[in-house]
Amino acid sequence: MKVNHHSIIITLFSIVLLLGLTACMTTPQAARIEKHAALFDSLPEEVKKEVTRGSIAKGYTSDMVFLALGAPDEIESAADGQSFVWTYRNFYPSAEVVSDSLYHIPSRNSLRETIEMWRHNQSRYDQLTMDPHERKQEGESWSGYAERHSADSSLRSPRETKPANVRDGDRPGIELMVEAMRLDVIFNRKVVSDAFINETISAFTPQPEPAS
Amino acid sequence: MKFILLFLSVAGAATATIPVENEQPVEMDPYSVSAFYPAIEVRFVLAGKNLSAAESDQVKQAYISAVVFRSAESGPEMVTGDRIEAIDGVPLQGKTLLEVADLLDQARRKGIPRWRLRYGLETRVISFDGDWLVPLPGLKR
Repeated sequence: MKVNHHSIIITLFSIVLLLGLTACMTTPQAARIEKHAALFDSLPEEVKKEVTRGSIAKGYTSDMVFLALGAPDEIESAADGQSFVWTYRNFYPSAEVVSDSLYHIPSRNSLRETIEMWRHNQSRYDQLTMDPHERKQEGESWSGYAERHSADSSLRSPRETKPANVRDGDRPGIELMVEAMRLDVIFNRKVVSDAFINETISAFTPQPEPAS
Repeated sequence: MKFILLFLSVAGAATATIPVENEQPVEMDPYSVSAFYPAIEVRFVLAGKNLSAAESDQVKQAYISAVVFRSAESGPEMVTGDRIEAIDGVPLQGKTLLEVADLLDQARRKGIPRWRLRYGLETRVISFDGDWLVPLPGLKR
């Protein structure tokens, strides 16, 4: 029997690739859920859904918060052990939870943008300047325009906004713009009563949409 | 003359008052524990060894987060920020809240508990049996 070595190699490579991709896609909360499967199975369905997303809600127990967010960096308790605060010092919200309008920006392809601008007889630099005389004039050649602005480095290499911290949850065309934050989860009578971001914003208060 | 001085001291011990702004002073029972000692609030930094039950988690640090003085005579022996290292010579670090409650209960049965407190580099031992604003598990005060 003749063995097709090529097909075996391709199959093995596909399996390794699939395993690698699966490992890359595993979120931190998924790893905790897998490790504490019995605890996860005992939760109500709606809680399971939120915990899998890395989200918490008022009324959650410490076990639920652990599955969703992980172990805190610090725990401070009142003497009775009923009221306590879990503090996460460098917390990154799950990509499934954060609002696109607050924490994500569309990916910018500077080359594609430049080509589009040129196609419409505009320049990227025109977007940055307010003075109409500085903009590319009708009928002006590109070399003439570049000569007028030769001292301006932004014309030669336009600056792009870079994400401060990029974490899990890659989406095509979307970049995460999330910075590490402090999260304090407040427990009263052993269930979540509130949570604060950077000691000021309540995590359960809907934030206004940013002006476009 | 001796008779008058004795009379004055008895009169002084009979009532303790708290000056309250725009109100009549509140008379308190001078022989209750609350009148002699301030009430305290204690907070515990836990080790995170038992996330499901805070009262069974190990104590990393205990400190006084608030002190309520109930009379001018109660004295500033404890201040906010004092770290509680030991009660009756037994360190709190590593004990659970339930064990700390048991320790304090036993110390109270023997008499007035002695607390080893630290503030910065200074360590001191004081006698204290005042109320806890939030009592330890199983204790009433």
